[in-house]
Amino acid sequence: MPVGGQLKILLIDDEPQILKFLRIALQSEGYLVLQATTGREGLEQIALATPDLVVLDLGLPDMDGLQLLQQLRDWSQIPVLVLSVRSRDADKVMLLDRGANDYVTKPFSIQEFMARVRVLLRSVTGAQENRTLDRFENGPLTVDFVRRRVFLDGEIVHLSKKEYALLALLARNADRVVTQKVILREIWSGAQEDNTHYLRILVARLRQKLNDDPSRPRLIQTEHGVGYRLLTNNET
Amino acid sequence: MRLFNSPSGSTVSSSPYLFFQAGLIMALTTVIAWGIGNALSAASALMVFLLGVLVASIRSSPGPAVLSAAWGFIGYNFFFTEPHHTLAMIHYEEAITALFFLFIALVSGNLAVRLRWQIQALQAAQQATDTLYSLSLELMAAPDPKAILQTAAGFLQQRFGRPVRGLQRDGEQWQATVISGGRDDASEPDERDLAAAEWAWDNARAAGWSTAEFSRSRWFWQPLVSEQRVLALLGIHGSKTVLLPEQRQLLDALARVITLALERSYLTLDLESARIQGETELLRSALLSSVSHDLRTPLAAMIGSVSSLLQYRGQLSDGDERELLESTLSEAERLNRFIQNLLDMTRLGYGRMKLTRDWVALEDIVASAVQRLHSVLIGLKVHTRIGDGIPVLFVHAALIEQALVNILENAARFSPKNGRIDIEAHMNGTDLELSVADQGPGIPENERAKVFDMFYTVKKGDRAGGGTGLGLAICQGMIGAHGGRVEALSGPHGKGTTIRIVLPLENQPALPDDPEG
Repeated sequence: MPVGGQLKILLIDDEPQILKFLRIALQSEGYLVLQATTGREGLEQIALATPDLVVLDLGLPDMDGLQLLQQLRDWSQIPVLVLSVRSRDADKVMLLDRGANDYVTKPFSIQEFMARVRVLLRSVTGAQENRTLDRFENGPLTVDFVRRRVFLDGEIVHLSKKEYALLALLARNADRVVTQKVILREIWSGAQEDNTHYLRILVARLRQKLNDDPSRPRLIQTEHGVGYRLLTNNET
Repeated sequence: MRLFNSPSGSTVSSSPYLFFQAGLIMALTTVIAWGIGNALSAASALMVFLLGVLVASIRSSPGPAVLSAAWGFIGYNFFFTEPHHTLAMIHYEEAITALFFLFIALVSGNLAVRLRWQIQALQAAQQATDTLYSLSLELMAAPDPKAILQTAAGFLQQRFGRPVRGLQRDGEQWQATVISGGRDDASEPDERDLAAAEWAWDNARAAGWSTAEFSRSRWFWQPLVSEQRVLALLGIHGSKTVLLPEQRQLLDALARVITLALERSYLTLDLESARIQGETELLRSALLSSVSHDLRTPLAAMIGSVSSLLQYRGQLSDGDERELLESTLSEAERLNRFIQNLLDMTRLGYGRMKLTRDWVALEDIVASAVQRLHSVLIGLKVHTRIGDGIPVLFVHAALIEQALVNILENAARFSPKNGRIDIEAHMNGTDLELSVADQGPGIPENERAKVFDMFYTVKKGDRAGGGTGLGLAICQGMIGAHGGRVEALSGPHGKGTTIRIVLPLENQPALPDDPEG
């Protein structure tokens, strides 16, 4: 089912095989697909054709992803989905911290890719579905941002300040990766920015209170070395 | 400094001096004999002359010894035989005595000289032995050819009192080793000196200063030859005085010792490099055979499936089409895991991989591994039991996860249909024990240690199920990098296999509890 008839997606990648299957898949979903094979061309297309989403490969012939993102963020807040390979994990995290919105690691399945695309396009279409600014609802979980309350199957869950802060942060960015750096900065005011130890313990306690099986999480998914993602029923 | 005095050495240095010395002693003897002969008897004077000959001879060589004997004979004849103060003799018995004296003086003088020489030779031999021995001792401690040349040059420099260099050939270039020990005011060998060195190397003969070849070179080059092969050159800086034959002899002897040391060192190096080359060769062939099998199997399946889909488009049933597509996907995923393993292994194997540790929850690692193997684990029951009290780990998460993925993949491969895989973790003292138990055929006890051996598993890489053959070896490498180990045990109730990762956690950084919880 096509999501939005005229949503434009720009693919910036220099590998024709990847471009080909992404184009075919995205067109099948009803998106309008633009292509660029160099960073320079990509920036031009963003300026001229104003796409709704950019899919950016980290390895480009003329500039690296970070350069492109820095130039882009000077004048545009367009959502950017990064394609990376595992050996470039560090680059990927750096890009997320500098304004990229999400990533997929090559090789990826098309379902995974489409899920990321849909989540990122939500903010463009304004389709927040059952989410509003003062409330997050997903299956048995409800987060009331105004009263700072959390309910599981209608029962109130008692969370510490930090547990609540973490859940609220993830819920506001549901289905999107939130990097460790951002979490540490938001919750510990940057005092412990390098220490992920407390964060792991906090996540473990939060999962326990939310009845989330840590070895098969349905709610809070760990993105190794990157951060966390709150999963909703709508996407993977 | 003379270390290797040969009997002939004494005559070389100062023959005129020895004659003068003998003459002086005999003159003194004559005066004493005259005094004693007048006071006592002519026979006493004869004894004094004999003593004089012995004293003169023992400090001297054959020439002066003969001179002393003749002097004694004439002195006795001149002063003590009738007629006095002439060289004539009229008494028959006096003439006999004088001739006997001459004979005894010649023989004992000669004997004294030879005795002296023998002592000298013994001393010299002793010194030479000491020198060779101490050089051997010093060379024994040198770990490689360069160190040997350095030690040798330092040693020779001290013994000869001249600058000494060792030269090693480095491809087409000459590489002078830095000489240790002693001050060294010589300028480095220049082009002319090196030309002499090159000739010495190519012809395996000494060249340069004080030789017939390249005598304008300021250095004397002594090749160190072993089995027609020049191992190195010793360079001795020239000076005004030439090398004495005894010094040349000493140098030859020392050169043999140095050559032996070099030979030994090169041999060790050759053996070592042969061993490393052998291992690299084994690893390479193991990798190649593994790659050809493990890359080709999934590729064959993928190419076959996709070409079938292309060929029979529209003719296949939905079920068949789906099956072909699914197999393409799962084979591609397998290929991806295999390539990841290969990359990890080459990085681990060459010691270039650095552990990038961070805090990570064990649950996350297990969850991620199970998630990655989702398609492989379909149809199997996976039970996870992670005990309480397991702290957050400070590890390289990707490596631990890959290790677990490899173990799980192995377990899945050998599991029967609808089999059960148990993932269990608990603390044992300060060690984390993470086990994966399957219901497969199990591993015979005597082969359990071998399943982690890369060569062993690769040799069996063609077994049913299409294993990568490298998985467990890599697994051990990854856990080993964390100071842990991997063990193969029998499964629960003696059935199947349990692979256990033991990860010591006592060296994890300690942290206070989060103050605000």
